[in-house]
Amino acid sequence: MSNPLLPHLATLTQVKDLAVGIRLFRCKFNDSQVGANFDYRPGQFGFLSAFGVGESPFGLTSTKGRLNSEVEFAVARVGTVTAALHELEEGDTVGIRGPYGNWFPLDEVKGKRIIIIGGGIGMAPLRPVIQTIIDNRRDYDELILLCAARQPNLLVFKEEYDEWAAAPNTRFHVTVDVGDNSWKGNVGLITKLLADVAPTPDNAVAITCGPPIMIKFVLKGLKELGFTPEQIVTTLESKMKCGIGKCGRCNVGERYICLDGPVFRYDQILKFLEEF
Amino acid sequence: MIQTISRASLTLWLDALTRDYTVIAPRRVENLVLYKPISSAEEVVYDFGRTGLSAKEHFLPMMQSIVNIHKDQNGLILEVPRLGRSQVIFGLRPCDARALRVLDAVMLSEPADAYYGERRKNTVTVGIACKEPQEGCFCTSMGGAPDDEKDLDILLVEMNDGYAVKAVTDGGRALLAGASLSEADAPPPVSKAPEALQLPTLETWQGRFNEAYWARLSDRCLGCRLCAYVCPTCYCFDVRDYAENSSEIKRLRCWDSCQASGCYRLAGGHNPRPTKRERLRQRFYHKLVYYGQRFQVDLCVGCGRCVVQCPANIDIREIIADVAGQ
Repeated sequence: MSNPLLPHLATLTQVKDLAVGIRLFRCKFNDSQVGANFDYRPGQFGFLSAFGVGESPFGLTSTKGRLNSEVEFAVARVGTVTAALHELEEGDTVGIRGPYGNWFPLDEVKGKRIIIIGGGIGMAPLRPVIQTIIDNRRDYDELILLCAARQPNLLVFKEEYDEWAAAPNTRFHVTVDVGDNSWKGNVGLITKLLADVAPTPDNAVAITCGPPIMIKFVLKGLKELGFTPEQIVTTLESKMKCGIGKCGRCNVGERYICLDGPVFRYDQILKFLEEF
Repeated sequence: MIQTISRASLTLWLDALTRDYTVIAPRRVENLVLYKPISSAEEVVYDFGRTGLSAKEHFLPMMQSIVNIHKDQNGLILEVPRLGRSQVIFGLRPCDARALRVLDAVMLSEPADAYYGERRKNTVTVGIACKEPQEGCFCTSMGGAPDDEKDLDILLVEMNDGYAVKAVTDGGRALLAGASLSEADAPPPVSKAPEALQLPTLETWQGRFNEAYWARLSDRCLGCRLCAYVCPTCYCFDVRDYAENSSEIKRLRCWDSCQASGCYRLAGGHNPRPTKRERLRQRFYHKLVYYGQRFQVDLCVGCGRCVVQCPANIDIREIIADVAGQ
């Protein structure tokens, strides 16, 4: 019997700071065949092990197409496992298992205008969505990117802003809740930016990921702009110990965030008995 | 004609089984009767009513290493601990056997849990029918019966001088090959069954989700988690790494409970079920609503352990009746 809880060994080939307390880990599977077979889509996640401390789930933060057999995770230092991961250096060994969960419906939304709204580390699972659209630019209508963070030094993937802004038929906006002396851009909540940019719901789909409180208000803002629940795609996050529907942490009603999510359409979420 | 086994032959058979299997049976552990490995049939307790814990720990151990991690100068080696000998679980009650079918639904659905699957595949169950209900029993409300054979490999039913024996599966028949059986004309006495409760409909459950009832009920809950530990079907687990020293690490999987305050809290601080109200409600909805929606079987077998062991007298039967509006 195969054992989905047994991690594959991998080596960190690149560790770099994305923001204060947020690091990007690029990992190469020690067994190249494992790397070749590790096939995943934007929105899926994997478990990353810091051996001796534990493992936690993280969104896969790049497309397979851009990385070939390597994988990338963006990790915010918020707890025990993430603190241990942040101690690791290039050349160190980690464990990876996955990929798990469903993915953003990028085939189904071809031909549509795509509005991507990401806050903080919530940009991590949205980055492969952006990469997919840019790499297949003619498959989609206008792309509107709204990125946000609490403060400028918490914005992630800043090095890629130029690439994203320069993509054809793309509007790119960034805002921070609170600026600093060197910040020249927008200041204010992402909901304000959303209201200012005011994307039309015509032939559009909004994809959002961020902290639960941000998602809550973004959903409200999108509704005010005329987006229907069927036009909004978001993610739910949960504590998880397994990723394969066994540990009992991520059940919401009869759904499992690890197996049936983490990506849900807003109309699906509205049917849940419980606010999660 | 029915097959029977005398008490003396049963003892000989069990002793013989201990040579090839880890035989797990109800035996006294201090002042409790628990399903534990025996080395001799003499240790088996027959008049146990209901054991303190179910046999769940022999499929989902309280704590088990799921990966042994060896670290040296050449790197890391991961090793998966394997089950040693096959197991025979003797003296299982039909409700605890039904719990295995209930656990199979989640644990063996793809992607299957390899550890549970290995133990399940390498275990033969020998049940003993209950003569009469114990305090708190409600198996018949949850689809079981005190003499239900269908989730067992062998069912024994007590008779005047021994047991009626029924091999239910091929695995059960094979295990009985070495037993000295006799035949009898008269069937064993019929078990007394607990009265069945009327279960609420799905719509009733859904309609009561936001009622103040759950907050009131949770006021009594101590959050002690005993209900999850004594439950034959509670399967939630935690996973943590335990470094024995710098070179030997065990990735441990342990029993967990939805009543623990940090069960759902994320590292960033977000907690979708922040108070006992949400957590207690989740316990009963998971058991009696959601699990059935997903797997077509409820996550409860009516064994009554949580009923009699909850220090706050939270009684799942009362909750069923309250929600049903009786």
